[in-house]
Amino acid sequence: MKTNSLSLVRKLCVCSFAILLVPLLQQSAAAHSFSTSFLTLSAHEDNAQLRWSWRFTAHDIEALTGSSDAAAALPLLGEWLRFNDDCRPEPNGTVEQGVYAGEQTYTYSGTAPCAYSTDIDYTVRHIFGPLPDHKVLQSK
Amino acid sequence: MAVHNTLTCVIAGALLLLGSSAIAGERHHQDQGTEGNPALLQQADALQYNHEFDAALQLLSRVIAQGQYVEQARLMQARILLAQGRIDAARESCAALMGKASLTITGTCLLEVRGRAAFSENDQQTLEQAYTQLQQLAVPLRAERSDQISPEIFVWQRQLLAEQAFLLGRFVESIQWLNYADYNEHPTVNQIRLLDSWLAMKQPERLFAVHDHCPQVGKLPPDSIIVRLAAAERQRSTEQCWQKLAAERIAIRVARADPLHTSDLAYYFVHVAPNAAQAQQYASQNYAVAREPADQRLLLAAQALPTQPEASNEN
Repeated sequence: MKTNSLSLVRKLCVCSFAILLVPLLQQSAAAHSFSTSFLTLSAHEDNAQLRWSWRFTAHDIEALTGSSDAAAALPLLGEWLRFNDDCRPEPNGTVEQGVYAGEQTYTYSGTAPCAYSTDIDYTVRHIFGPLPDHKVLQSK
Repeated sequence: MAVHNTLTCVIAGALLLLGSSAIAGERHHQDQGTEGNPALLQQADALQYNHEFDAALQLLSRVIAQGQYVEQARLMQARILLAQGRIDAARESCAALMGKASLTITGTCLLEVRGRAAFSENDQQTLEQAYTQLQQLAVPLRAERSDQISPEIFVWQRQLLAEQAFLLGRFVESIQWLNYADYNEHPTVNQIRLLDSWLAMKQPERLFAVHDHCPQVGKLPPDSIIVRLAAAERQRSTEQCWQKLAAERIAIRVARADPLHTSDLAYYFVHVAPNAAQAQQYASQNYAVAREPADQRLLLAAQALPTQPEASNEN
């Protein structure tokens, strides 16, 4: 409940009395945005590898890369996602565009040089600064 | 005169309830001349925005103890306490403004609390009185001293009048109190008030006069508005776009399993795709954190849903 006076005040970092009074007086039922991406993992024919795909909203990618070009994220995916600490995803270089839940989406996919298992460990880094409420939902 | 009578009555009542110890204590801190910190206020605002109410209240206590920005801190404190359903504590925060803020601000704050208390106790008569007093406080002052009323206070009072009119079932009046700005210029909280009023009046078409009949990709309103547009589609027995969109967005929210901000989910499972178990789960989860009148109504509506399997599979 979401751009409103509250977020505007915070963006501007204005501390004057008059500006401060606005958020203090108005009710706080402000809209929240919920940033979510979807990670899908599966086995590769080559058991030493796994397949992955990772779907983001376009505006999240823009927030993360500073670019409206979906391809701008390709070189960064290996920094954002790691399997088993040091196993980097290797994007296949294509970006599938779509629409889900009313938002433009970009789906990146590729392989990683590590074996798939249903309980494979992975870490996501560097994206929670620009997207503090972000959650990665996984389907294995 | 009516204004002063109203204020005198409200303020005297507050003083009787509270005594003056809290105010005396606050003055002591102010006399210490400690530097205030507006950044703390902004941090508190950010915390309350994320429903981290207790942490926000702790910061506000520090601001108040420092003796500067006390008016702003007290107002935010009262608002958070109301959101938590701590009405007596909110009343104390408002009363502590006496001598520090204008009578208009103090009186408005106290009348908001009075209205909330009356609603929570299902005391329609007192809610009527608070609404009348708030009109007496707000409207004459605006007419007679419009040059002295800040836009922020004007908006605040209109917002409260709209809320109290809504709670009294006076939906036309609620809408009228918000007619000082176009729908798109209002903050989300006011937009929701307008949408809820039109839905309560069984006028779903009004929602589509201010929103597209179908969403534009990437230009979505907040989920709280999407679920209301879906409810409007359901109310007029047509399914175009918003119910499907709401279903997708709520599915994501369910999968995220966020512990906070579950009122949208509860609303969806009450008004769009009725499901008693889900509605009660999310309405209860929401009410554990946020206890404003809308949260209370949502919980009651969820509890009133039939629990038969055939009903829960409706839609």
